[in-house]
Amino acid sequence: MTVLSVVMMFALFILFYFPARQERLLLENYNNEIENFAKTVALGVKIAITEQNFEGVETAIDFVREDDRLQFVSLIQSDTIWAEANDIDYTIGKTVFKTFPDSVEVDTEGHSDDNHIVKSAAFSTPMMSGEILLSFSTEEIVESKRQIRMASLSATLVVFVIGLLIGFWLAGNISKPVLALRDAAHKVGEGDLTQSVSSNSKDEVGELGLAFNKMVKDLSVKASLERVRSVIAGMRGKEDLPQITPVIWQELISVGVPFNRCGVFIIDEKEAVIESYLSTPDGQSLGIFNLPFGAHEIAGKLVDNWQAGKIYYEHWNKKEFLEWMHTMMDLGHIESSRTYQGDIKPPESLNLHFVPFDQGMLYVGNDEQLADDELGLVKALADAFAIAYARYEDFKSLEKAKNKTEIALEELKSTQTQLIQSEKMASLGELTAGIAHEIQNPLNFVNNFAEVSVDLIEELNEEMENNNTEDVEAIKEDLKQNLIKINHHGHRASSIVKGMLEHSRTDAGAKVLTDINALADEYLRLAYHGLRAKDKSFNADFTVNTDDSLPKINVLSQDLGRVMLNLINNAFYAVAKRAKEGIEGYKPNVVVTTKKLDKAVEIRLKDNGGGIPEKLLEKIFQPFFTTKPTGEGTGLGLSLSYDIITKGHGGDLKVDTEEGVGTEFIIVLPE
Amino acid sequence: MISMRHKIICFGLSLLTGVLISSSVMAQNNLTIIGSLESVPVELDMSQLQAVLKGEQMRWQDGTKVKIALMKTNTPIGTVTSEKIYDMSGNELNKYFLALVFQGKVKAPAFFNSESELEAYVSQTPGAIGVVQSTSNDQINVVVIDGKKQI
Repeated sequence: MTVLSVVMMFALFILFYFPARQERLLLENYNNEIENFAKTVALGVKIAITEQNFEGVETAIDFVREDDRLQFVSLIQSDTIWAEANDIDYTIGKTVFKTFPDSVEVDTEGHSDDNHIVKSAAFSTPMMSGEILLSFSTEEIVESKRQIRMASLSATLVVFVIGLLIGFWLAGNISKPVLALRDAAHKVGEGDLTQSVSSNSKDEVGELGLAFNKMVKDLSVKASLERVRSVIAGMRGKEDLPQITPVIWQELISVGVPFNRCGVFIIDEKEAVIESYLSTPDGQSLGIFNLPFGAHEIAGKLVDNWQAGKIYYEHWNKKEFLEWMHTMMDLGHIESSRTYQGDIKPPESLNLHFVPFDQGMLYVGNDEQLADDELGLVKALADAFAIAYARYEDFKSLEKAKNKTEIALEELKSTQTQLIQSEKMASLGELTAGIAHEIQNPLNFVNNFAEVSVDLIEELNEEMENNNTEDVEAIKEDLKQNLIKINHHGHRASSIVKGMLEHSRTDAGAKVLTDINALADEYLRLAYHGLRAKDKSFNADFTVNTDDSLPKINVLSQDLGRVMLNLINNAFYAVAKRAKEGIEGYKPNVVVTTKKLDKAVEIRLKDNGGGIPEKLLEKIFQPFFTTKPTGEGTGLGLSLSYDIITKGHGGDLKVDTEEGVGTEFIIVLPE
Repeated sequence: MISMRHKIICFGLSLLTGVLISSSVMAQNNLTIIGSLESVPVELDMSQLQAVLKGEQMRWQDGTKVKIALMKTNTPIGTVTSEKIYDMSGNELNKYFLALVFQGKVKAPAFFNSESELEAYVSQTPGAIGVVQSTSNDQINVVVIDGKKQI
C-alpha cells in the first residue's frame, strides 16, 4: 500500500505538476521573447528618427515580419492634446502611425487574450514619441502545451508501470521481512523474549533482522540478569537461600547456555569453608552445605582461582565424578547417590566451568565444553548474582545493626524512665523535707504545750490536795489556754496536710484554677526548708513579691509546683555555692516576683548566685545536662520544666543571666 | 559730415556684398543628382527622379535594386533636397521613410553627413542614386534632370 501510494504520488506529480510548470515556463519565455521583439523594434525606430539610420529598424521589422506567429506590428504615435480651456490640462492621444500588415485594425491599448499575446515597448525622440505594439499568435504555445501533456502522460504511464514492478519487488524482498519483524517486535513488547526472525538476505533488511535478533538476545540476557538480581536481592533470611540454585538454573536456560548441572560456591576465607549451593540434574536444590577448604581437591582449586579472579575449567570422567559424590556422602551432605543423581546415571564425561564473582564461583557443568560467548553469558550472570548477593549481605548486616540499635534504644528509654523517676523522687524528697519542716513547727507547739499541760495537771493535783482554790483555778485557766493553743497548732498542721493533699489529689493532666501567688510563696518556703533539712549550715534570704491583682489561672498545679521547686532549688543551690566561696559582704538572696501581664501571668525567680556561663547557656534546657556533681542532679530538671511550661501550658520559659551577678528565670503563663 | 564720395563708395560696397551673398545662396540651392556608373540612367525627368527617390520605383530597367543615398536632413544640402525634391520638411521626410520601411515597402535610404561619403557610397554601390550640391568625381555619373545637370 505504501509503495503504491508513493508510485501514485510520483505519477500524479509527473502528470500534473511537471506539465503545469513547463507550461508556465513556456508562457514566460514566450512573453519575454515578444517583449524583446517589441523593444528591439522600438530601439530601431528611435535610432532611425534621431540618427536617420534606418538599418536597425529595417532589420528588426524584417525579422518580426518573417515570423509566422506575428499577427501585427504597429507603430503608435503619442501626441499631447492640450485642453482648450487652459494651457495646463492635457491628455495623451494615441494614434496608429503605421501597421503591418495594413489590413489589421489595431486597438491602441492592445490587450492579450487566449488567442494572442500583445506586448508594447515605448520610444521617445524629440520629433516623435510613441510605442511599438506587437501581437503574436498563441497557437504555437497551445501546441507546445499539448505536446508537453502528451509527454507527461506517457512518462506517467511508464513511471506507474515501473513503480508497480518495483513495488511488487519491494513487497517480496522488504515488506515481508519487515512485517515479520513487526510481528516479532509486538511479541517482544508483550514480554516474549524467545522471538527471532530469519535474516538470510545480505542487504539492509537482513542486517536489520540480525540486529533485531541480537537486541532480543541482549534483552533476554538483561531480563535474566534482572530476575537474578531481583530474586537474590529480595532474600531476607536463611530460609530464602535455597532459592539460589533454582534461580541460576532457570536463568541459564533463559540466556541459552547449555548445561546439565549448576551451582554457586560462596567462599568464606575467614572460616575456611565454601558455602555450597548445588543442583540435581533436574534443577532441584540439593540444599546448602559447607565444604571445608581441604575436604576435596576441587575446593582448594576453587579458592586459588577465585583469589586470582580466573575462570577455572576441569574435566571429570565417571570415576572422578563418583569420587566427588562419595566425598559428599562421607561429609554427610547427601544421603545417597540417588539423592545426588536421582534416576540419572552418573555422567561418563563432565565439563566443569567455574566463573568467579566477588563472593565466590558460579558453577556450570555440561557434557561439552562451553564456548567463549557462552562463558561470557555465565560471567554476566555471575556478576549480576554478585551484586544481588552483596545487597543480601548488606541487608543482613543492616538487620543486625538494626536489632542492636533497637536494643540500645530500649535500654536508653528504660534509663531515661529511671532518670525521670529519680528526678521525681529527688523532687519528692525535697518536698517531703519542706513539708516535714512545716508540720514540725505546730507539732513542736503541740508537744510543748502538751508537756506543759502534763506538768500543770500534776501541779493542779497538788494544789487540789492543798485546797488551794485560787491556784487551782489559775492552773485550770492555763490548761485551757494550752489546750486552745494545742488545738490551734493541731489545726495548723492539719491545714498544711490538707493543702498538700489538695495538690496531690489533682488529676494528672487536668488544669485547675490556681492562686499563683500562694503557690509561689508555698514552694519557696518548702524549697528553703527542704534544703535546710538536708544542710543545717545552709542559710539564705528569700522574698516573695506578689502582685495582688494577679488572677487565678488554670494550670497543672502539681507540674507547675515541680517547675517552681526545681527553679527555686537551683537558685538556692547557686547562692549556697557562691556563699561557700567566702566573698566578703556577700548575702545569698532569692527573690520570687509575680506580675500580671496583658492576658498572661509572669513569675520571676531571681538569685544572686554565680550566674550561668555563656557557653553553657544554650545547653541548660537539654535533657541530662547538669553542672552539679554526680549524684546531686539528674540533668532533667530544667528540661522537664521547659516542657511543662511550653508544651503543657503554652507558655514561655526564658533565662536572663550574667556571670558573677546572678540568674533570673522568667515564666510566662497565658491566662 | 560724411562726403558724397564716401556715400557712393559705401553704397557700391553694399551692392557688391549683396550680389556676392545672393550668388552664394543661389549656388547652395543647386542640387546635382549622381548615380553609379552601372544600372543608373544618365538622364531622367523630374517626375521619374521623384518616383525613384520616393521609393515608388524600386528597380532600374536592368533589374538592379534602387539604392537611395541622401544627405542627412540636418545638413544644408539635406534640407534643400527635402524641399526641392520631396516637397517636405526634414522631419516629414524622416516620417515618410519610417512609414515605408516599417511596412517593408522600400529599402531604407542611406543618409550621410558629408558629400564625399555619399559620393563614395554611390560610386561603390551598383544601382545607387544620390543627391549632392556638385561633384567632380569621375567614378560616378551626373544624372541630367530635365536636360540640366543641376536642379
